Amino acid sequence: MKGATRSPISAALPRRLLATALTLLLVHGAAFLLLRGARGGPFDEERALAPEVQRALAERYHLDEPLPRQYWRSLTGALRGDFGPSLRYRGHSVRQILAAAAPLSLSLGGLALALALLLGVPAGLAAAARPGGPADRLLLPISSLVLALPSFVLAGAGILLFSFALPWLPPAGTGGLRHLVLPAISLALPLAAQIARLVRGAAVEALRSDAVRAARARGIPPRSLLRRHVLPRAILPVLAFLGPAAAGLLTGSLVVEQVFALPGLGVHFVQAALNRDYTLALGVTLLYTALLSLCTLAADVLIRRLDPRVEAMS
Amino acid sequence: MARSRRRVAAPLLAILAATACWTDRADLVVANGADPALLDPQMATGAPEMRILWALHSGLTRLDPSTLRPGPALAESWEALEGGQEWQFHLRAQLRWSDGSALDGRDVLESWLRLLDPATAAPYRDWLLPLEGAPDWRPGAPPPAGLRLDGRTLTVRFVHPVPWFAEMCAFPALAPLPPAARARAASEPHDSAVGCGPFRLVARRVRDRVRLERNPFFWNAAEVRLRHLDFLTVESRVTALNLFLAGQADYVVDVPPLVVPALEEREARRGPGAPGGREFEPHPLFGTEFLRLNCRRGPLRDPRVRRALSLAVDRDGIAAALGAAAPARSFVPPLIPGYAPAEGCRLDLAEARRLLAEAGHAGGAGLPSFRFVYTAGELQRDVAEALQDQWRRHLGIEVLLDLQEWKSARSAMDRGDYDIARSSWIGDYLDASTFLEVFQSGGGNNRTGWSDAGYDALLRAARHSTDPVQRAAALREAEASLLEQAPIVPLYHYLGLDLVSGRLVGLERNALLYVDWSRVQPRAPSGGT
Repeated sequence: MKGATRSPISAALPRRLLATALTLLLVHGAAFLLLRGARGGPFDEERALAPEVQRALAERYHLDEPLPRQYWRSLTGALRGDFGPSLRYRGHSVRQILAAAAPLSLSLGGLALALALLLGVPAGLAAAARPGGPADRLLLPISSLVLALPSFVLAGAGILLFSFALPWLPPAGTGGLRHLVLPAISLALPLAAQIARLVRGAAVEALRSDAVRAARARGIPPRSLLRRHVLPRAILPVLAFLGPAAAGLLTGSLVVEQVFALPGLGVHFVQAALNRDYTLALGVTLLYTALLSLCTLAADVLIRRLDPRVEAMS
Repeated sequence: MARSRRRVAAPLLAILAATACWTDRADLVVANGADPALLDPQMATGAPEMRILWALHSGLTRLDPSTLRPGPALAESWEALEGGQEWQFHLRAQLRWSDGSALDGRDVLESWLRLLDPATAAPYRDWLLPLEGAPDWRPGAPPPAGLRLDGRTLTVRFVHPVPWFAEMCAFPALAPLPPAARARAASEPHDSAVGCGPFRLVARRVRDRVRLERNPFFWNAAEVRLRHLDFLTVESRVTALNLFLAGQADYVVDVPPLVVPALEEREARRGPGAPGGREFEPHPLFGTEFLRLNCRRGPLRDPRVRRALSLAVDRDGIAAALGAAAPARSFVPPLIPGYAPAEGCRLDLAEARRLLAEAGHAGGAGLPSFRFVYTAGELQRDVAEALQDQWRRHLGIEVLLDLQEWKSARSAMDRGDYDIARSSWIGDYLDASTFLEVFQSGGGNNRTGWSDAGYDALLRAARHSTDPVQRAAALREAEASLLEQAPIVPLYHYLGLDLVSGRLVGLERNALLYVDWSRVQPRAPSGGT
C-alpha cells in the first residue's frame, strides 16, 4: 500500500471504502428483513413453551419491540461492532462466538490457500512451459476430476486413506496441526485445480508475448524466464480470482467443518439461519461481506501494482 | 523476502497455537451430537445439554441406569405420602458445591422458586405448577404453601398426586443452583460454572467441546473414577462413527441407520465374549415418530377419514425399510412398568376402506390432495414417499409432499397450515402421561386442533387417582380413545443406536438415554492415545 501512495489507487480508495460501507448497510438491511420474514422463531422447539415463558424471552431479547426499533437497535449495535447476544448460544455474545471460531477458520483457510498456491501455480507453469507435453496433458483430466468431486467425497477419501488405511492422521476433531492437514487438503485441492488452469492459460499467453519472446532471444535461461517474465503476468488472473475465493476460504466451509467436526465459522452461516439466531446470522453475514470487500480490494491493489496497464486504464 | 515471510509466518503460528490447546485426551470422550445451547439446568431441554448437565449437577435423587428407578442422591431418603401427593425429602448433611461452599435445603428451595419465576423463562416451569399455591406465587413472596423446609427435610405438597416426582427430581431442571447463578440468571443467561454433580466445568469452547474434571466436593466423590470428561460437538453422525473407530471417542450417542448392518457384523466378529460386552446394541427409546393430522379443516375433521389413514399404514414395512425403528402399535412406547399401552395401530385395509366409504369417500372420491409437511432428515423422504404410495394404493388418496426446514414446519403446525405433518415426541420420564397430555384440549403441544371432553376427563381422572391400577386403566382408556379418533398416526418407536467402548464399565443403555457419570469407570487404567 505504501508504495502506491501517490498513485490513482489512493485516489480511488476512499470511493471504494465508501462503496464497501454502503454495501454493508444494504446487506445488513436485506439480511435483517429476510431473517425476520422467515417463519418460526429462535425459541421454537418441539416442546412448546408456556405463553408467559415466551413473553419473558421476547422481552429479554427485545423481540417484542416494533420491527423498526429492532432494526435500529441492530444497526446501531453493528456500527459499534456489537451484534448483541446470540439467541441460540444464550450467555454468549455474537462477538465472542465469532472471536472463538475465527482463529481456526483463519488458520485452516490460510493453510488451504497456501497449499493451493504451492500446488496450483507450479502445476500451471509446468503445463504452460511445454504445451502438449506430459504435464500439460495430465493437468486437464486431473483438475477436472478434482473440480468435479464434491468436497465431502474428497474429505471422505482422505479419511479412508490417511486415517484408516494408513493411520497417520486423525479423522476429525481439533487438537493441533495434524488435525488440520486433511481438512486443509480437502479445501485446497479444488482451489489448486482452478489456480493451475488459470495460471496455465495466462502463462501460455505470456510466453507468446513480444516481451517474453524478446527476453528469450536475449538468451535468458528458461527457468528465470518463467520466474521473472511469465509468472508476474500469469499470476494476475489468479489474483482476481483469489480475492473472493480467499474470503470464502477464510470464513470456512460448512461441509468440511461438519465432516471433520471443526468449530469454525462456516457452520454458523447455515445453522444460524436455520436456528433463527437473528443476531448471529447477521454477524456472520456482515463479517463475510466485509471480508469479501476487503479481499477484493486487496486483490485489486495488488493487480494494479503488478500490471501497469490496469493503472493506465483506470 | 525472508522478513516478509517471517511477517506472515508469525501470526499464522500464533493462530495455530491457539487452535492446538487441550491436546491431552480425556479419560472419557463423548461424541455428544449437536452443540449444547445454554448449560443452565433449568433452561435445557435437549439431549446434548442433558448429558452434560447430568455430570455437572445432582438432583435430590438419581436414577439407576438399568432400571430407571430413583435412588438417593442429595436426599439420603424420602417418603411419598397419599399416593404421591405429598413428598418428604431428607437431605444429606454437609453437602458442598463444586467450589467447596456449603449447600443446604434452602438452596434447593430457592432454586425451585427460580424455576417457578416466569421471568426465568424455564421450559420445565410447569413441572412445579401443581405445587399447592404455585400458580398464585409471585417472585419475592414467601414460598408457596406446597414447599416447606424444616431443617434438612423438604416437604413438597401438590394439588394432586405426582407419583413420579422422585424420578423428576433426578432431572437437571430440579437440581439446585448455587446462589450466584440464582441471582444472576433471571436477566442474564449464563453457563453454570458451579454445580454439585460428580464433575465440574473446566472450559467450554463453542462448537468444539466442553471439558469437565472430577468434583472433589461431590457427595459421593469416592465413587467417581474418571478424572476428565470431554463432550465433543460432532454434528455429523458419520464423523462420530469415524472418531469411535479411530479410538478417539468412547461413547457415540447416535450412528447413521445405514451403518447398522455393518456394525452388527462388527459385533459378530468381536464375538460374545469380547471385553466390555457389546459395543453396539440397538435398544428401545422412550420416543415415537408419528403424524399429526389437522382436525381443524376439510375432510380431516371427520374421524373416520383420519382413522382410515391410520389403518392403511404398513408400519412393519416402514420400520423394516428404516432398519432402525420398532413399528408402533400404540402412541406410548411399551416400556413403562405397570402400563400396557392401548394397541390401536394396525394395518387393516378392509376396515380402512369401509370407514372411508362410510364417510362418503369410497376410493378417495371427493377428497382433495392432502398436503404432507415433512422435514429434512435422514430417510425422512423415504418414509414420506412410502406413506404417499401406501395411501394412494390402499385408499386412492393423493398426498402432496411438502419438504420444509424444521422451524418453518413447526410454524406451519402452530398456524394449522398443513393437513398431515411429520412429528416426534420423546418422553421425559417413564410415565404414559408425558405422552398423552400432549393432546389434551388447547395444550401448547397439541397443534392438531383436536379436542375431546371425554379424553380430557380421563386424563383428569388419572391425574387425581391415588390408585396406580386405576390410574393406568384411565390412561390406557385415554390412549385407546386417542388412537380411535386418530388426530395422530403413530408410525414407529425410536431405537437407540449408540456405541459404547468396551473400555468402559457402568455406561448402561436405557430408554431415556440417562447417564449417571459418577458410576462410569474405565475398565483398565486409561492411557493417552
